[in-house]
Amino acid sequence: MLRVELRDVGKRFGSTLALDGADLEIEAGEIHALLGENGAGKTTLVRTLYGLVRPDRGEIRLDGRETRIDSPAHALSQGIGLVHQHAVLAPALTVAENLALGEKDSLWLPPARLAQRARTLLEAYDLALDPETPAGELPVAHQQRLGIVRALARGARLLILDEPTAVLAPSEVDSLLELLVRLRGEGRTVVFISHKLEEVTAVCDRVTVLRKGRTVATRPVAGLDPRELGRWMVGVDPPPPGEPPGGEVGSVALRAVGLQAGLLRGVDLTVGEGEIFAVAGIDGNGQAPLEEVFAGIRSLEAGKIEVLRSPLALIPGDRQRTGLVLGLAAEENLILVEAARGGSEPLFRWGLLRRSRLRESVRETFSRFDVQGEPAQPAATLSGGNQQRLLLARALRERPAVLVAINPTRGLDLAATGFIREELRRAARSGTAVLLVSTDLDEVLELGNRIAVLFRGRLYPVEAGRRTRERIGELMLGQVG
Amino acid sequence: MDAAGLALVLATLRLSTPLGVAAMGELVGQRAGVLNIGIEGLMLVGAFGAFAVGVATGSVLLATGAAVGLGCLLAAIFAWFVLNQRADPIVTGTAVNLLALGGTGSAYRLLFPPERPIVSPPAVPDLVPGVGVFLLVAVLLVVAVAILLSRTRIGLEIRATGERAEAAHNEGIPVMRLRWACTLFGGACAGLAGAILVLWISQSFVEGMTAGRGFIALSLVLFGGYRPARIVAGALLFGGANALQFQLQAAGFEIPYALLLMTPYVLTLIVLALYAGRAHAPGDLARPFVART
Ligand SMILES: Nc1ncnc2c1ncn2[C@@H]1O[C@H](COP(=O)(O)OP(=O)(O)OP(=O)(O)O)[C@@H](O)[C@H]1O
Ligand SMILES: [Mg+2]
Repeated sequence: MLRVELRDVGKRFGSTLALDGADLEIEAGEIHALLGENGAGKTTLVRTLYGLVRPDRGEIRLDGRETRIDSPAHALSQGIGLVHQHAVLAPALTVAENLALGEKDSLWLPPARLAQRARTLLEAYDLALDPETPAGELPVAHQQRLGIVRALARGARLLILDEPTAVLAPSEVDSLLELLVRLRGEGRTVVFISHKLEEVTAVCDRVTVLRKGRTVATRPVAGLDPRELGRWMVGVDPPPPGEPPGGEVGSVALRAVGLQAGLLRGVDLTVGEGEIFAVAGIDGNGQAPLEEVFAGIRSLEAGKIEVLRSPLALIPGDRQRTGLVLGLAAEENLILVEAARGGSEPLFRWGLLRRSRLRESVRETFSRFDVQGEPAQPAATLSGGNQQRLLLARALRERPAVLVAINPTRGLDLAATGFIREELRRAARSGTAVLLVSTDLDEVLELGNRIAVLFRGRLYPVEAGRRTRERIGELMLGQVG
Repeated sequence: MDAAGLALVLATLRLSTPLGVAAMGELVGQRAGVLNIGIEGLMLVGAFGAFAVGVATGSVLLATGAAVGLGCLLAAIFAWFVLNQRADPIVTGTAVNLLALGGTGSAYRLLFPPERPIVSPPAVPDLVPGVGVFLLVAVLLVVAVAILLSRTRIGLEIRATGERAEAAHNEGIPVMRLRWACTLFGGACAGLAGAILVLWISQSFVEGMTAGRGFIALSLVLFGGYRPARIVAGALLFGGANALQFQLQAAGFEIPYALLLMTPYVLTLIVLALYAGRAHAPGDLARPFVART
């Protein structure tokens, strides 16, 4: 068991004040939630505790003793483990090899032994993965779960999970929450970062809310009103859930017939102008190939896709891998699509980028989509939620006629989620045909004019009269009848 | 096998050995994410060290030790600039090559002025007639590197460091120390390769005598797909082509000798490029590492 105190931690990155005197006090053996809007400093704070960020000021106390943690090796030796917001794996190494990283017990690790160890672990944590797959080929959700298993296998006394549920399906979320409770029962301490208040109220003992790098409050969760929590986080009430757009559906803008690629076993769909067609389902049922064929980065084995209106914009599902060029500035990422289309006026003249116009246009987009960060900042250094906003801004900026959006609000805070969903509805109302692929049930219900569930590569429409969480849940598990 | 055939085989082994040895060192470094194009220079200082100490002491062991030591020393300079100061590895490697070329040339002229009688270093003892002990050392080295990389924890840590240093660091693996160690190992191997050139192959020192062998070793690593067995095959190919070329020259065929000299290089490149497929370079190769922000 480990009791942790962080006192008055400050950290500045260039012109951004990420932490401005944050406090965090974690009792031994509790599940402590860390909340805050996108960019509040949650990740920076826990990275400080893990020795990845050098704070400008402040102190860390472990069991009352002041301790300097200057590397993950040191954090690990103190019994602290971290599951990153974006899984940090060696992509070319296999699942088994990634799981074995950092293990110190034996020098002799032939492949058979690695695979054996991996199988035991994967089984113990109920993760059906082939130990020989290169980790980089896994969908984000599986990479994330791999990171969780690795941290758990380490047997940390204090386990920090940075938005572990953002990429998980509802059933997986439930089993993760159960696992956290089990860990607490074993006497371990857990720090849990999430934007989902119901997850926090379900299992956490106490909660700390961060706002703009400062600690706003630390409270016991019992008896807490979720609305009150939301107010602390952003200072206003969280937006109420919305309804799918109600306008007229125009002619067909996007049609797919008999799509077969990888897991996809013949998917038919049409999306009309002004309509949101939502595809629900648990990740790993064909979401990845579906995204890839619409992105044009995977060829179809059979079937065809007709894009009847243009331009088509895409919000990729993996912001770090296929969404952004992490080393490029935020503003450069924002105009990649425009640049690729040949660079037209007003941002370009004679094929040359006009930097001053770019700044102007970027500032406008940043403020419209509330991207917090500097336009010139590398995309890698934006907070997770702001990277996501950048993707949305890029897609919606050019007023697409067809929009394919994969988990567009993954990792966004409550306010931002509400805002983005409203933006998608607004796009639909103005005639955009939206194909939404989401593992978030609420999202699908709040947005989809029509809903279908992707299960084992096939699409099962949700009957108009049976639009309930229960029905969709059944279909997600393959109970078609 | 007739005498000519045997001679060809022996020459092939002799000429391949320094390439294989140098390439193993470069391989380990690159697998950890360190691209050292100064390998040519490292070999050259190794060759010079082996020659000078061999002439002075008459001991193969001391001469080899000096070569390994000098290789390590120069590699340490490279490592300090590239790993600690985050200097560009291409620029630094080039500087190392130039430094080695100029340094060994000047030192050679200083220590062995033309008016001094011609001296030669001791020859490495033979395992069997025509096969020096170095071949055994090289074989052991290749086997050790292959096992290290594919079947040990340290090998896994090295590969993780080269693929994605951040991931390795996150799991408590000492990225900097590993990269330093692997770079020094590369220096030692290159130094040893230089010693092999002098003590087994040529029995003399000539300015710039490595003649691009370091760069060949470098490309063997790449085209061999970062796999020891393929790298060795590439080394044998180059050594064989070179041996054949010498025999043709000696037999007095009517082919311009410059063309003959060129064939091993061209042949090796073509075959390797055809067979290598799309080799996967370590993801974080030549990228500087920042431990804390
Ligand atoms: N390495 C860095 N360089 C520059 N700015 C950074 C860096 N890391 C974080 N920041 C900035 O610090 C602020 C806090 O980021 P942090 O990632 O801690 O937020 P967060 O609370 O985790 O948000 P989210 O919920 O979106 O993940 C952001 O404005 C971010 O852009
Ligand atoms: Mg974060």
